[in-house]
Amino acid sequence: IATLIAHPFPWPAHSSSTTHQVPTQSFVSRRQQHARRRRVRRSPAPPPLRQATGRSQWLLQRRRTLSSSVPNVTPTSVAGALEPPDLPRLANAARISLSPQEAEFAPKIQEVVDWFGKLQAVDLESIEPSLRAGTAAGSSLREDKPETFANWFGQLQAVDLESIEPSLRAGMAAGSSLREDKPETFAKRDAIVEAIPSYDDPYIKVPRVLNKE
Amino acid sequence: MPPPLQAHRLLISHRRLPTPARRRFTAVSSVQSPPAKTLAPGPAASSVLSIRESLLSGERTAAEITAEYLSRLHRTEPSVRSFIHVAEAAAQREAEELDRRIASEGKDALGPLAGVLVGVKDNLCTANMPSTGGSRILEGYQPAYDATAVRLLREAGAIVVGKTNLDEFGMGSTTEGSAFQVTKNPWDDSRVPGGSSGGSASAVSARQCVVSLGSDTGGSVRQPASFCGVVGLKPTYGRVSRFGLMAYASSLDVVGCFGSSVFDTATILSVVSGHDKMDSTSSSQDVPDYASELVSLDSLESKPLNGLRIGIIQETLGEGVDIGVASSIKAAASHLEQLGSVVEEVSLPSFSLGLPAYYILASSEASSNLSRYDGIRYGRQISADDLNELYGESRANGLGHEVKMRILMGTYALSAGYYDAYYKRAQQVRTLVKESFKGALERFDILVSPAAPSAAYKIGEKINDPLAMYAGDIMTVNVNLAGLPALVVPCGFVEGGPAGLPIGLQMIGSPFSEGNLLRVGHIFEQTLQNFSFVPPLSSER
Repeated sequence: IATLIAHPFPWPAHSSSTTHQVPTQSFVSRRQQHARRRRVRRSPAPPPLRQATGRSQWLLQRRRTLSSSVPNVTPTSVAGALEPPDLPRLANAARISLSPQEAEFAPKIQEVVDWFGKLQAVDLESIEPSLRAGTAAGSSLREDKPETFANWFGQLQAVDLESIEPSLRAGMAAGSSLREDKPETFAKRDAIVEAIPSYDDPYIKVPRVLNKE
Repeated sequence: MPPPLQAHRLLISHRRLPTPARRRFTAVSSVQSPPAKTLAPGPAASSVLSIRESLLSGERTAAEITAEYLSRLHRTEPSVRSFIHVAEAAAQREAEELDRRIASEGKDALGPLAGVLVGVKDNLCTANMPSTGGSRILEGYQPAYDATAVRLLREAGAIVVGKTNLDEFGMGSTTEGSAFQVTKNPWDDSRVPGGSSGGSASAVSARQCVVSLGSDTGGSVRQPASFCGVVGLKPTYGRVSRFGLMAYASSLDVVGCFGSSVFDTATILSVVSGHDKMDSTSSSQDVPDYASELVSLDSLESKPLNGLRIGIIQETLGEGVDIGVASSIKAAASHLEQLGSVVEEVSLPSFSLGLPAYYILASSEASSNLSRYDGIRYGRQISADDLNELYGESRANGLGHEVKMRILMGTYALSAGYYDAYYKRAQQVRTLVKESFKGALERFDILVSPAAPSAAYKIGEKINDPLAMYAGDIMTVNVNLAGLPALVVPCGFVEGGPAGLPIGLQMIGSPFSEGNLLRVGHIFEQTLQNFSFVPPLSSER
């Protein structure tokens, strides 16, 4: 765990080998799964989540989202605590189909977030003295306890930010630099149209939006 | 003429060469260096100026200059691979066109960048060239317009020679994250050039082009400048229009520039800066002629930086920083002292909080900005039975691993009910970081630090040292949070590679103080003796 989550992100940013897993194989199999699932969907109970791939979970979540306007809530939520990342739900929201290998990142991300919870408790004790610089006369060494730097989010919880104004951006532009609310014609409309993959003048073609049974 | 600085005393990690003939510096003195081929060590000269002089005097034509650069580009590209796309025919045409105009109009035809070849990072839109953002999802995409920075360069007479390689959509710090190719560091082809603007830095370093444009969201111009031994500038947020820059994190992104000298970097900054009505975050502040404020060595007083207060940021020289880097920075600081400035250490305790805040903000904004790559309006489309599947498949197929992970993390941080805990708190921390810098910049004119905790590392090397990763990011991201300008100037070498590996000194100033940073950087560069920051491969003819 230590080496994995020692990196700021729960995945190694510098691994050249895994940067581009173009899932052409799984793409084909996803279509097959999809075709299979169309038949399965008529059955009364959805397949158990733990057996399902990331993609099938994604589809199930999508069905629920379409029928209700309330976003899905992870059933195991602790009152007041932040819920851990629900990868299928995130993938749905981001409209990215995850391959089965990619869906396996859920436990890794989960580890980071679990771990952040533990460190949060630790930091509440040890961060306070170091933030208040100069209280301890003499030694300014921190406790001889190894720390890793994976709990990005957790560190923010420990800080008192009650009265601090959020900064939308660096705030360099003095005054309002919005331009006049007047539409202008863009000269190269044709070039924009040329870039569209499925164009059927004057429509941009997309597949049907809702998949009705 | 100021008294010669005693470089051999300044840099403890290096030794002066024994021979009286001025040779290119090597870090390992026991290695027999090849005889200096064309370039003697010495302060960097401005290529922009020398091109301009050649064209004015008629000594060379634009076509000849372009041919020279293109031939060097072709010779070095198989090794370095800076470019995703080279626009050879267009560059030659534009050069010939410029020659025709010089012949008929004389020197009135010369814009400030006439005949200067520029590389443009592939996340900046160029109308007549593919612009991929380093991603398969935009493979083959040709934008309908030029980014404002590119348009301004062209209007000044520059010739865009090609699009340089980058980590996909700017996410990464080695350029290994590109969907297309891995760029090598011109100083050692087993090492990375840095990232995400690795191609832009290596192209200038290998002298494949004169200057180049990059982008900096969390250090993506400064770190590759340090790794490749070139000058890199991150302007103040709002100094340069972001119109046409493929957005990664809109509140952090800036368009930056690379040059082989401070003078060249200053020249292109003047050209691309200014208010743009297409970018409402761009500033209306006047754009000075930055290069005109850079004086030559001869007219410098003996203590040209007299009265300048410089603060070294303590948090950037702690654990995880290479000893060679730390000593180069300290040597650079003492060089600055010899020039008349006063150097002290300063602590910015909010720096460590800036790191999680940066990652939350960058991931969150990226998750929103990258939602436009949906396979509908442009780019690669995977056909599907319904719309959601089309989105899901197109994005799964076209986006790389790192990009997907950051989008998912950002989606998490922005989920309903999480905003207060993450994004809002990150913005509050941004306020703290801004105020902390502001306080320090009242006591000091310039803050300095390394731009990276080490020199360029090996391609494919997995960095398992958490302290080194942390130490690296902490040097750069806080500057983006505060929107401040920063200049990286090569200042020394550490051992490694055939001729040593360069190290850059980062100088940070208050908002819109690029002029001051460039002035100080120029004086530093011109008085730094016994170094040549030209990598071995590009000095061969």
